[in-house]
Amino acid sequence: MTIESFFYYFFALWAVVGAMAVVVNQNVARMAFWLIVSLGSTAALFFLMHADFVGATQLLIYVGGTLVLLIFGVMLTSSEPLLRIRMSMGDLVIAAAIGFLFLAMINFTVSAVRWDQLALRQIRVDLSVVEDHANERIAALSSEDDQEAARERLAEFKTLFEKSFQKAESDSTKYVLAEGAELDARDEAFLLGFMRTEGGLTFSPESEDGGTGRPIGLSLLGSRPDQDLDRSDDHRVISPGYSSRVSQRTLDASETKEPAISTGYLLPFEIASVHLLVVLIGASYLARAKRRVET
Amino acid sequence: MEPAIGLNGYLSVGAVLFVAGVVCMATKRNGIGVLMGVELVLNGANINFVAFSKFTPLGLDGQIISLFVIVLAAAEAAVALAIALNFYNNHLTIDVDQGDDLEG
Repeated sequence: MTIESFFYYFFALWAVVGAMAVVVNQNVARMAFWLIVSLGSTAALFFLMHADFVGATQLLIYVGGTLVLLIFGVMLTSSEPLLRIRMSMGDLVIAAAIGFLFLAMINFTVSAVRWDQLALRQIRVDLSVVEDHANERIAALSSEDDQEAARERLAEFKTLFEKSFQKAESDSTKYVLAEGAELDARDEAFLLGFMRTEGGLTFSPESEDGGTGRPIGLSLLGSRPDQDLDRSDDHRVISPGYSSRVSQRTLDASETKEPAISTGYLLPFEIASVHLLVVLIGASYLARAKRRVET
Repeated sequence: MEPAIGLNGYLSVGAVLFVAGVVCMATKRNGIGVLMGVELVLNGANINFVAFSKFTPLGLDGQIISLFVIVLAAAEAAVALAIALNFYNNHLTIDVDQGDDLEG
């Protein structure tokens, strides 16, 4: 078991246990505690997915802000008889049954979709880059047996790749999935997995080496250095000179006067800002001290 | 070599959190408990967004959308809490079953 899968199982378990405990507990203060456990484990799962900025935001805003707010709500509203409001046993059983059916339906639907195939359809791959990357990794292996096994995997990958991929029409160095390619789920998983592990294929270079803060900040200001300049270069490869490659692409784009498609999030960001201001005013208006209405 | 944790592993965690949140919203009689259910649902959705951003060509977009979800969830919690406090002031209870003033 690798360290990554160990942490995945550990935090996934606590996220699920926490969520279940929130449902099962009747005491609202204990529910708040289990919610902290669940949301904190979710933040850890974000870190595992290399989404460091989202994970940090989750910890700061959710666990540090929203939950503290909820706990204040618990303190302000729970006088002793209200701390536990029980529901009837029949309701609980029906809710649990419906919940399990719902969960089974979602899991059935999710596992019925072939995500690997969808991903393969959307990427354009530069075979030589993948090969170079794989060869570099093979050269870095220490033992002869490992190198032999890695070479066999590369050969298997190449036969499968040539069987199912064809040259892209617009760009002769890139390959796309052929129309009538017949692959089963195992082959798809192998192709994508090989390209992601040995081949250096990454869907978002920043998210692989962890520095997501800067690109996210830039995209909230409306510019996407990772996407604006060259949308066709969907096969992004991590290389030590990644940042220099970006500036090189900037240079290319300005030379060819290619119109850059802005995919930034400036407008949603501003809408969210105004929304927060409205919420600030609205919440303080709603919660202002009033004379209690006698009932 | 065992296969690494893929997209489906994270999606099923998100599904469990989502369903737990829905059941929580439907069964809790405490107004604050209902709010906690909403938080769980939004978190389940967030896990899915980040998982798609890592495992599909969606790229960084998924992470940005999940940031918006977090921010809007904080705003929603503030307003909902203000409403819950008003409800408590008016009814002297937080049991949502008592809130039937508008019942025809």
